[in-house]
Amino acid sequence: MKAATDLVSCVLVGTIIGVYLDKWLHSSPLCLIICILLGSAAGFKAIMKK
Amino acid sequence: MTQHHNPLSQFELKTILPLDIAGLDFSFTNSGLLMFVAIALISAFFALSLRKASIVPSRLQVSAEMLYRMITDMMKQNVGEGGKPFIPIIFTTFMFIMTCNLLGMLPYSFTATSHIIVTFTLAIIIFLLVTIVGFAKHGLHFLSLFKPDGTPAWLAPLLIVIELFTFLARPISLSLRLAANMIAGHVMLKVMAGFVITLMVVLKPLPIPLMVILIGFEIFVAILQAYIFTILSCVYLNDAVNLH
Repeated sequence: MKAATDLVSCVLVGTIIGVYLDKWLHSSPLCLIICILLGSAAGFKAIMKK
Repeated sequence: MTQHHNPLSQFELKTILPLDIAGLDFSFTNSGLLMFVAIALISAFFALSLRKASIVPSRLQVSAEMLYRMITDMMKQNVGEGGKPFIPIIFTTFMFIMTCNLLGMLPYSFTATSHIIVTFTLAIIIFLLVTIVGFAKHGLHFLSLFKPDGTPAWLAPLLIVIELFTFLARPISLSLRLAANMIAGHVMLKVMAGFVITLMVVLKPLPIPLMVILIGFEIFVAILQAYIFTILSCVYLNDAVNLH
């Protein structure tokens, strides 16, 4: 349960940051893709730390 | 029938006292009522148990002191001496979450902690506390939290962004875990109870012993989730108070 919420929340944060960066920089899919990938990486790192 | 046996209908907000201030909905709902009941119960418990504090304590006083000792020990183990000023807020959070979870176990009650907005508010308080304490204690040096020890220089920009994401995910992860556990447990109870109605007559008694076990398990989960929320707050506070 803990691993699942960690992964989900990290990807969620990445998605939110990506969407708002895109809105700010008008670079529609680019920032979203990069931030989702970084968010997934952060999620797996958070799981592996435990 | 389907309307009354919907497993999610127990999480519906019902307005008790409609209140509208400047176009915003400030209505007093059953969620707010249960939170007030929780606060009243906690206050009454501590007022009653510590009214006649004596050296040879009564049973109530022992239970109140045990709860307090548990949190102070947890703070001492996880944060150390620097955690002393934060015992009140951690203790309050623990008592509030535990009482809300346990109140949700009563029949016809409502689980305030099953709504993400409630748990997220609690989590964002902890998150802001950790951030403010970190910057107040260490200044800009607190930002070294985002750079793990021994990171090669070429990998640093990537790792800093990843660490920043994990840091920002903390309140979401904290609130999601508590709310998800509460929703999952209560929905499972309701579905099991629904089997008693929908199964054929011969099989009707089968889910009942299972319900008894599950209710015991749910009470365990209610206390465990409050404990996990507090111990993770302690771990996060440790980052802010004793920066490696």
